[in-house]
Amino acid sequence: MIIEAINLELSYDKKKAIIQNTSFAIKKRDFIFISGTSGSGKSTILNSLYGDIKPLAGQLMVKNIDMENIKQSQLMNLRKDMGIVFQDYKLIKEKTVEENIMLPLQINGYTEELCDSQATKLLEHVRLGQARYAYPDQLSGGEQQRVSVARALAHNPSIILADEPTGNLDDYSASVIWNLLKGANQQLDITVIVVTHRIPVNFNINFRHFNIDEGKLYENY
Amino acid sequence: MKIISRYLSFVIPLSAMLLSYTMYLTLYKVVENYKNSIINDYAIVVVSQETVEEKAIDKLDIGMRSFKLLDKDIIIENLKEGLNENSVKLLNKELPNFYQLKLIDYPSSKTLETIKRKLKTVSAIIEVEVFAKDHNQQYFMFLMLYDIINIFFFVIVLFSFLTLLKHIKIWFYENKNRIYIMQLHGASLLYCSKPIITTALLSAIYSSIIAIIAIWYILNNLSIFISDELLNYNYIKVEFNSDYFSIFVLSFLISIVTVLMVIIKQKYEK
Repeated sequence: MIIEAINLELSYDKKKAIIQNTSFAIKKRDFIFISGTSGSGKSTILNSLYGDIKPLAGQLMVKNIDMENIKQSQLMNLRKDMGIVFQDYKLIKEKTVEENIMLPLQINGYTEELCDSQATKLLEHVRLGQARYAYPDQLSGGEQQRVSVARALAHNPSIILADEPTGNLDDYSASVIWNLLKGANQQLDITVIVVTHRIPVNFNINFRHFNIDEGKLYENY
Repeated sequence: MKIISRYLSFVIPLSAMLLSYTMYLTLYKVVENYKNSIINDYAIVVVSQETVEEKAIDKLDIGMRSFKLLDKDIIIENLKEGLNENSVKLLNKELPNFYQLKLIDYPSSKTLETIKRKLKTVSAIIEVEVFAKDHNQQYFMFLMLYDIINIFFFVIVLFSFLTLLKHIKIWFYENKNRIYIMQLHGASLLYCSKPIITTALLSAIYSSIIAIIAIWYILNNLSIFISDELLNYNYIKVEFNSDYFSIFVLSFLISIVTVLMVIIKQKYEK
């Protein structure tokens, strides 16, 4: 198992648990959708997976690391092996498209040459070769999200976490993003976990779907 | 433009601090030179009935440079005016030994008191004259100069330090979002702070160069800054050879310590 939760409880203020007594297990290469109503705790689960919040109770293991007792250095290493995609893209405004894509590579200590060649490949992959030296503000929402996905793929992580990746996009841009995430899962064997309130129709690969209801995560078969 | 203003916000306070440091060093050296020049003229007079061995004084550990018996004949020569032959003979017989004690360093009033006390422990010595009044006047001037320089230097260092601290905090605030995104990708706070650390290190080099050029210019054009009258005194001329290194060290130390302090604070605030 790449991720395993047992009787997990999550909360922001350590008082009322948003996620209560939830257990789930995710295998390598799984493609997971987590859906639920607004405020149900979808993003909270995702936040806990990249260590932004710690479990209030129960156990959460990500790549065999206990997220409750994770050390700062372990958390940094874990995040180095993750790609994260947000609804609001979270690109660095002061950096060009290329520099944004190269960010995880530089953090992982890749050489400048390797960063450069990997960025070129990814820019072609997300069809943004012409926007290499553009700044995020000069791109459309769909293009910015493609940069965000390219950045998440850059260092070939074992897990990609995506929080409403198509939330702000039109149908065409959304389909491009879904195809990129599918490709990452099918061709690169990356475990993809997507939080969304809208599961795409005609999603022609095997996926697992979890739904959050009253603070608990249930798998839909 | 933003980068230039970031560098200036480091270079200006650092340069101000280094220039005040060089001022402090210059005045310190002038005072030291002055002290060395007058120490040759300063001596303590020790009076004894019996002969006092130099070894006995050396044992007291008072920083003795020389201990010399003053020639009785010269003393009598100065005193015999108006005295008859018998009186001169009596004087010659009864006159105690006068010794001139010179010190290695110019002493403080407190040290002088200690020296006097130690000398009096030698049983043969009956009187010690340290010429405290003359000594105190000169020493008071030194102390006043030292205090003014120290206070000035302290105020400038404090001001520069606080200015740097404020600029670094502003940088962290301005880059809050960028740091958050980088940390999401596994970057450490130290890695995220690379631009500000680089700025601090390069500014330290630039400020040191500015300070060194300023010193070099002043030392080679002293007549522009100091009156001709003062230039005649040798103690005004100071050398900075090994101090250039201390300017570099101080500059690096202040900028790096300030950046690290803010990074550590940020880390614990999280």
